[in-house]
Amino acid sequence: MVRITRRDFLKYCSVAAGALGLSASTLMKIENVMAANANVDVVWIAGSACTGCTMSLLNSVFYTTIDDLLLNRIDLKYMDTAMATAGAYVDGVQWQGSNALKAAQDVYNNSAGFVLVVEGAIPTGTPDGSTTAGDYCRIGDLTGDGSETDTVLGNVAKFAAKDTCLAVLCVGTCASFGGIPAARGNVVSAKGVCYTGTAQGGAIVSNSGTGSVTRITVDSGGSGYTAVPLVTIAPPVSGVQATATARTTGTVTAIAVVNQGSGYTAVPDVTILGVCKTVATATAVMDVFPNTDRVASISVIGGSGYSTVSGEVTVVIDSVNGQGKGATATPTVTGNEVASLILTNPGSGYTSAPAVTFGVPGAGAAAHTIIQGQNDVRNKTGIAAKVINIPGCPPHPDWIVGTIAHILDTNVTLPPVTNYFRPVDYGYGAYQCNAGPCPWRYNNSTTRDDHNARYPVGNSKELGKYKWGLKPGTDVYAEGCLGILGCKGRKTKADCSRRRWNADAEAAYGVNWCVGSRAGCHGCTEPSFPDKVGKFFTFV
Amino acid sequence: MATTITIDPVNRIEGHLKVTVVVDSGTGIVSDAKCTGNLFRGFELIMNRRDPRDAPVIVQRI
Repeated sequence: MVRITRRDFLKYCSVAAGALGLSASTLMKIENVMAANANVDVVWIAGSACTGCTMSLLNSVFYTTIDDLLLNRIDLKYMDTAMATAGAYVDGVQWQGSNALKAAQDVYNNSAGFVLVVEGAIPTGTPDGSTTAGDYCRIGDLTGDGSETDTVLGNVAKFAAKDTCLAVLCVGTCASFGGIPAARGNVVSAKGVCYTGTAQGGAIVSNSGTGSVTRITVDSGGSGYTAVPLVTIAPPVSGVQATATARTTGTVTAIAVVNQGSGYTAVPDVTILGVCKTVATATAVMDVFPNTDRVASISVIGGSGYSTVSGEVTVVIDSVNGQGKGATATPTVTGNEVASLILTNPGSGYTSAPAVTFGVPGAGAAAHTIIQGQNDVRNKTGIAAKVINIPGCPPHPDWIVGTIAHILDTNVTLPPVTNYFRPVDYGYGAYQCNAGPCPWRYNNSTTRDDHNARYPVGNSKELGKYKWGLKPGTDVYAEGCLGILGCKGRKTKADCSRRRWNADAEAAYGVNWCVGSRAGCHGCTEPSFPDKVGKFFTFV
Repeated sequence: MATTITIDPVNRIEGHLKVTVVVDSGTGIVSDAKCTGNLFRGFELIMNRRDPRDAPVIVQRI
């Protein structure tokens, strides 16, 4: 299979670094794994979808083009919109020729590891005249268990529950949260995979694993803080509460996590308490699994002279740098050689591979350990630990490709998430108004002069006073901001304002975005879309 | 004697479709053909009692 060239990759990297603010270490990590030819099978299941997410993905040019992604980076085994073959039966028997279903069945039954992509909501209701839940959307027998009338509900549940399923990517607001098919008035009980609107609990699983707070992003710094305010991170239902401290120079400039906590099943609320003029707001970022490494495997070279009596050969696994503990293994001795070591406890907290020593009598046996982060989803069981939401109606192709690239490039680990399990580094790190330059927001310029040069409208003395385009102390919007016309940008986490859409192959940024064409943001990446974000053209 | 050929899913389309054709084995003539849309979301019901200005935003996602 043709691989992406190093030169191509560096081109992507340089563009990505500038536009996304990726750190050098992140890029280095991506580069390393690209060199290692990461590859993974992908099954793309479309549920109650308009295929808009597919169409959006086909516009990908930023990290990589879609043909490169599909041909070089992943093995897209099944995707009924894009694949060349259709599913066919003759007299109820699967046709042995070119058959789309066979590709999916092969992945389900034989793949060593695959990523499941779900597009579209999952109807869970039972229609009149049917006895099958979710029968509002049938997609055929993707698993090869003989059920020709399989529903998307059944198929997604079966694929996601498979041990070889490494991750479940919910592409689009429908698969993430229910979206348009789950809007008020729907009769099919459409749900997302692990969310229904803002509520955890979807068609397949109830949440998306547990994790720790790894960093906190300041959404709005507030003003007038005379002392360092108290930062409180809401406690998890069961687990350790995370703590953090703020840095302030009148406004809150940064919040540092002191204790990451553990056991969070959803990204917790962050409250900032202190005497001030306007209150600062912040959002926690969560790693779905705390990244402490453990021993994943041990390979052994036999040596000689070891006792075959059970329990007489002792094995000690020691950390080489004081970090990590608890790993244990049991040896099996065959013919006076140590034939194998069975890992009985993987331990935790290792930062480098621990050393293995063997007790006497006997000599020459040596062993090599390999550690693997708990962040690696292969160390996790259960569907909930695998799900990442990539909402948007449709999501920007870069958000999808960026997340897939992260999973490939980090040896199949899920990216850090902001609230509702959205990847923070691939599109969902900030509200639209803050993520980039909104042309209608008065105070987005670095200086008043800068602003006047770019947007020469309004009274220059008044510019810069406005926040979210709202005149201080009033609910009156300044001319320009579309909030009064129903723009949901200030409540919507997405970086359209910076990234923009429809980039050509050479451009780091896209041509335009909804708000850029004076349309107002509809809040399509939020779990409350389309109902609870409010009417699209009404101020909320 | 007739042969039933079912194509499900039909690929390269937006949505879900199943086509069933019955072919008479002796003559090769298609004696029956059915086309099934396998997806129902109820957009018409979702549109009930909404702000009419929201209609184009929602139904464009069909």
